[in-house]
Amino acid sequence: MLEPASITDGAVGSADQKGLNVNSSPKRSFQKLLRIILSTPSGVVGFGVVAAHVVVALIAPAIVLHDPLAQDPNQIMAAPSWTHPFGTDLLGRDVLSRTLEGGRVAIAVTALSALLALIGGAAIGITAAMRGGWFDSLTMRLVESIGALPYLLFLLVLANAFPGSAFALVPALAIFYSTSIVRVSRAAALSVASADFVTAARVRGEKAITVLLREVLPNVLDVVLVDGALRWASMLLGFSSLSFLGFGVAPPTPDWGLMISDARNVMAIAPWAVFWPCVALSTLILGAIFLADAASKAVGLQRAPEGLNP
Amino acid sequence: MTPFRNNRAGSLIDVAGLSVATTKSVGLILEDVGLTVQRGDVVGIVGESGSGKSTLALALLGHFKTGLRPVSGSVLIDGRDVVSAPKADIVSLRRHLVSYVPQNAGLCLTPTKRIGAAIEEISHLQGERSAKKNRSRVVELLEAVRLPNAEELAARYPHELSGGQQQRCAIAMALAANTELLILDEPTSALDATTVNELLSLLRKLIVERGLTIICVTHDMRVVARLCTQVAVMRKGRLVEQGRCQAILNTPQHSYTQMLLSAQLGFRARREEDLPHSDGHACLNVLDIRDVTVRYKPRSPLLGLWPSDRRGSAAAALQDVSFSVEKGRIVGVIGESGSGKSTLLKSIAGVSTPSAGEMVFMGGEDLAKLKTRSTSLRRSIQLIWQNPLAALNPKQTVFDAIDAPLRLYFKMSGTRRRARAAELLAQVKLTAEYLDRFPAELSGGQAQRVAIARACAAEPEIMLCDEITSALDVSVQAAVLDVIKGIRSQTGCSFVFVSHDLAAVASIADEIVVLKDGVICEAGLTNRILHNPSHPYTKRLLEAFAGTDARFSFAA
Amino acid sequence: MTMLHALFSRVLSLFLVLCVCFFALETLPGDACTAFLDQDARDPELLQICRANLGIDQPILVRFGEWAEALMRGDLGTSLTRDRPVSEVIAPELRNTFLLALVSAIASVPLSIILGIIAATRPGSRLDMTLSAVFLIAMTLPEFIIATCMIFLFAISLQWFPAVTIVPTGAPVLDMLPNIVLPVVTLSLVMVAHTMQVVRSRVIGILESDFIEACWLRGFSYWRILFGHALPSALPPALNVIALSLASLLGGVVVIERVFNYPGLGTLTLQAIHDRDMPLVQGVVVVFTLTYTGLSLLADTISTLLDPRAGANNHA
Repeated sequence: MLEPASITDGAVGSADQKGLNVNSSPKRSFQKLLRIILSTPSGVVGFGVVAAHVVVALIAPAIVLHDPLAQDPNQIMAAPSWTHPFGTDLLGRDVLSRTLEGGRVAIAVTALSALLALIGGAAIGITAAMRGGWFDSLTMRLVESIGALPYLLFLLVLANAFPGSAFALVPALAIFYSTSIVRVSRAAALSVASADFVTAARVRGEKAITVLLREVLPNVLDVVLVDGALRWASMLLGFSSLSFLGFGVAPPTPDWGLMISDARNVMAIAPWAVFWPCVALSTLILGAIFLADAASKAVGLQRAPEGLNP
Repeated sequence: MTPFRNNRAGSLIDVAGLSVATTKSVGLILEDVGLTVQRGDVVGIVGESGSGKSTLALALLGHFKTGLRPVSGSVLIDGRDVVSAPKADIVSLRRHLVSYVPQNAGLCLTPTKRIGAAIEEISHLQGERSAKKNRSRVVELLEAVRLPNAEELAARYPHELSGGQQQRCAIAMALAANTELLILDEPTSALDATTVNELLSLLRKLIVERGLTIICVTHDMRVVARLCTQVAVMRKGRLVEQGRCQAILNTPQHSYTQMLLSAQLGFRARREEDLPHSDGHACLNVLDIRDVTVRYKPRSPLLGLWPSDRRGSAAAALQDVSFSVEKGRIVGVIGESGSGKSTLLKSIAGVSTPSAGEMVFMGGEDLAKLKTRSTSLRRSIQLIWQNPLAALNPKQTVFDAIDAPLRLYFKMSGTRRRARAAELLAQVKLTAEYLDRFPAELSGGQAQRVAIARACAAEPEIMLCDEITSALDVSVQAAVLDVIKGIRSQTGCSFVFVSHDLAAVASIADEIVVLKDGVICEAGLTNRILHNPSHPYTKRLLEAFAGTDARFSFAA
Repeated sequence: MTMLHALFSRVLSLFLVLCVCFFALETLPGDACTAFLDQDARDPELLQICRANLGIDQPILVRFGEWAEALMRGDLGTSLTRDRPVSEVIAPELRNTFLLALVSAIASVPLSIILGIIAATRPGSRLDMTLSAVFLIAMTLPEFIIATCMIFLFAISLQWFPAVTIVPTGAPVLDMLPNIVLPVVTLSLVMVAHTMQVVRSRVIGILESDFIEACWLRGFSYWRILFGHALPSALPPALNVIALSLASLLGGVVVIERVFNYPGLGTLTLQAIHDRDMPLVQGVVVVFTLTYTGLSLLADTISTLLDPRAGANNHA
């Protein structure tokens, strides 16, 4: 972070005296990014919420009070009480336990897909930018075509072809949601690839891989990570919609989308069975958006999220 | 009538004790500035970037950029204080009394408005309601700023004009307001020497014809000398010297003014004996360029589906260019934008490949394509770029940047490399504490020194300098040129020094090559070219640079 | 030239998409027969007879040829489970979805532009913050949660509108109107949320640009600057993004129709996918893709017509 004083110093003073008191130890760029994210309120909230969700998802089986699958015929749609703080659902299952475990599949599937999309998308986007020519044209045409596909329909068809295994959706999710990452990383790499310092490295005789790893990648990574976070939020939206429609997670397993779908019809009688999974899902997505937003401000993009579709 | 159209007597502008601060901190952008301008004066406000000259100019319009606020003092325009004036008065001031030509004219024209419509709008605001009169006024104004085909030009959008044309349109818009005070912000900074000449003569014509009062903000003393009657020199937010132009140019009082003047005019002291003597033996040419021609191939639109552009198919950027660089010599290449001087450097560096001719290094190796160059050849030829901040990776520290050639070309241990990097920094007059800085923490001059140090790290035989001073402030330019001279005397390295800035080239080069439209007009020793040019284009360049003012001619 | 180029590349994209669509859908495990026969599908003989009856026992390339050739004629094939031409099955459902989408678009596009401009002209004000917060939440929540909230509020608590649609598919438009209020409000909310920020950030970006500052320095009035200079530059690119957002938001119709039990293309799609009625699914995909392509072409046309620089940029 630049101190305000050093800005005026640069503006007023002779340019050669600028920035003398800057902390000069080299920092890993990831740590730096995290530090800047955590310096804004929205970054703290986003990071905190997402981290809490992930931790709960990891340790949920150890902390739940009831078996999320156990049905209690005597406790159907019971109001919140000491034994069932969030009440019970249509089949008498504990809503708190189900809510705690309801994010596990969604988070695992989307995080895996986001990671795949991030790595694959960035690799393709950067390669396209660096190689140019037919490879670039083909990639962009392909990205455009995938963007024109009604992705939700395809995911539905795919989920229907492999019923019960949500992880079968990972490749498709990764492909559909990587288009934006390909675009973003290609654009970033294009602007870097023509930069003088990259030409300098080439002229110097650096190996192509060195140019890529030392000169290009560090300058593209920020932007790609930010977009990756946005895509993850977007995937959570998409995957929960699939679950809601009955095509994502298979029924006995607790899942927020599925829980909302099941309890929706008895909303007037047992609103708590809808309310808590709604809260859990929306806080997670909001947290991811906040995180992405703070990250984009941290790397100086200043861009408001312009739409969450792939 | 407007509140600003009375009080003919007295000075037009009276700035007293003006201080401007940023909203966030205590630092002052302008400090206790006082300036008086009479009607008919042409005032040059001179200073380097960050001196506050633009802030002062905008204050005359009652405008302070976001983040700036006036803290004390007054700005009287025609007897009215614009700092404290209500909004309506400011609007009236801008409509009827002061008009402004922004620095980057291209970015300051509304992109969705045709030129004619933009001028008509201003004319309309002046109270002229007849559409027909407004339209004829547009043509009249465009002709007044010497734009050809005014009728046709009025129907164009800003992006369809060249930089010089945009600048003139901006002036025409300012004239449309029919104000007596015109403020020009860096009117020449984006223009070629010959275009600058035309612009200055246009302004002189307008001053005479329309009786304008002009405030011209610039960093260029030569513009001041050729246009202004008064000059005010600014430094770090203070007015250090002001007075009649002749007096200040001839006998500058303040050391800063002297420095500015000598930085731009100091090259006259050059003598023949500055040349490094070749020791009588066979003179070794580091680089021989023979009949090099470069054409830009149109890019093949494979899978791009219907190329939208097929222009510029075979125009040569360079045509049959030949010259040699002797060991230890500095060869200056001058030319205006588009003359092919950058293409020449890029061909030598290997970034672009000539379509004909040969380039021979040290009498032996042929500089063909970059891919076939050996590592030692790559090491021997180093390029320094125009914009240092673009040439340094923003994610790498200064040490990483200097370390790259050390790592690549020399087998050295890590500690040894760090020590060497510190040595190299010392060579460009930077201390070792800069090693761990990132480029964003450096000023332009510092970054350019780091780029020079990086080139030196390769211990090259020849360094190619591409406009290395043009992105820098005048005072920093001189320091960078000194660094280059120092390196030459320490290492005996040769240089090809490309620039459009005649002053810079003249002060550093032993020989000069003049390029125009990809062809060499004239080449020879610096003094010969400057004092006794034979080619008409060289003469024109020198004239454009010096104008009619004797102080700026190259005569001994 | 530019327009032709855009059109040609869209047509090529469309063709690619349709190929991908056919092969992706056809090569997935399971078909109409495995879905129809369910447990009996384990009997290979029965499966074979069923497939022969439906004509899906041919090699995939042959079927692709037939499908593509029919598509050229505008024939989407015959539904496997409903035994009627796909176009006939789709038409009434399409009308309902079109009604829903059209009313939402008519409501949301002007609204997002107006709100975006209002927010952009007062950046950081309380109004701006409120609008941004409300629509950020609306954008990040899944459509089904918003729809569920709507139902809880307006149908269950206030009982203003019906929670689910009870009229049949072919009902006259007037009968549909009360039923589409909640779906339209939900869809519009999501659309405005996605597009208002775009308008806002574009307008703010333009208002901060050099040429607007130059306009201030020429002594222009605020309204002249806003309407004469800023908006003509800011809106065409924003409209472009809006058209594209609308196109990709159409997928959300599936979810919204399901929540409100609205008889439309989305509900039909879910049924078709469940039945593995591939011709029907392909038909729906073709309709969605054509809509997307049409809208993105419209977006291009808008920016080419309204923005003098758009054509020039492609030449640079």
